[in-house]
Amino acid sequence: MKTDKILIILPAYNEEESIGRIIDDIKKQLPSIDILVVNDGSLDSTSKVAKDKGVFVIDLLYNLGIGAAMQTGYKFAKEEDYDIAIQCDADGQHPAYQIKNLLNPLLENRADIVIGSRFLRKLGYRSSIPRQIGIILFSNLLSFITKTKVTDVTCGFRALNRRAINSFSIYYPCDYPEVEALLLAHQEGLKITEVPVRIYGRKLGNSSIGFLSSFYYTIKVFLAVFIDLFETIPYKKEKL
Amino acid sequence: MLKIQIIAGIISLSFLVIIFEAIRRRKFMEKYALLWIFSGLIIFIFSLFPNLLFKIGSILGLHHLTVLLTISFIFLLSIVFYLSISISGLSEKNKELTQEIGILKLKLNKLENKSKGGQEKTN
Repeated sequence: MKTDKILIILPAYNEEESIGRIIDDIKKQLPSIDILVVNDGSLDSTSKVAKDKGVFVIDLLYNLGIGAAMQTGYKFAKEEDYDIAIQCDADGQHPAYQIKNLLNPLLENRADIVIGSRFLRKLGYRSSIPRQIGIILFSNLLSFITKTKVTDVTCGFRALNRRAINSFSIYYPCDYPEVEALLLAHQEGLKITEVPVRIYGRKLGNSSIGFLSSFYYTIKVFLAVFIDLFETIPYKKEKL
Repeated sequence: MLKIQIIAGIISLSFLVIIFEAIRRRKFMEKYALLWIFSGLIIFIFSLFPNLLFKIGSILGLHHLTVLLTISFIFLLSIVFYLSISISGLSEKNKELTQEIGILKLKLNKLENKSKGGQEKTN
């Protein structure tokens, strides 16, 4: 199984302070893995820091948003023929030594998408109350729709196999993509599994979801999920 | 002929001429112009036959000014809706282009590095 080509995708927007440390961390833990930083139109030196570390860097001309940045990574993974892609926040919330845990279900062919869940076991993760409510709400909604137990739908720490990479490279939701992406994956017939992970609280930078946008987030994701239930599934459209 | 008929007729005709001219100068794609031409024609028809307005008004039970407003509102709404859809399509294409450029640049870099490495070896 060591021959699998694995890519870690780190979408980064103004993360010059943390990106270097994360890259070092991943390299130390998993030296054989390729790292791709998708610089989503950062205004600081994120791109330079990453390039100096000798990893792949895709510079997007302007800020496309997290979903489109992620999708860029998947498109690259597909074109370069990777077996597994791992998505990871570039703010250091997702410790590199946990990546191996994510890989196991894929290597054993038990799933197409593996989500790192902060809640599957009590592993010391605390977040704000409104956010926890949102996570529980959407997790239950998605568990109900997909008939699979999902506890942490908003977590951006995931591993995908070839099938999932292919699906996401063709269509990936634009903003606040995590929940909707899972639903679309389910409609596409991909199998989703969770493994417990421990996650650090944010030390640097701001979360992509601020306090005021929580409301917008909730409404937008609800609408997206609702519409997707009636969807003419986007993957089905022919694309070369 | 009523004064208002003449004024409305002149306005709608010049509106049509402006649209036509814009298309001719390639400032306006035909598919986007169609709705505008259509609305220009409707205004022109109403200015020729203002009684039409009264008739529609009496059918719908509305005062003729209200009919005018309703009709223009529907037209503007459909044009704005059409534009929103076009913009969504454009942003999607724009996103795909940006992603593609990013990926291509990275691949180009990789190639350049490879060929540089190769040259050093042969030297």
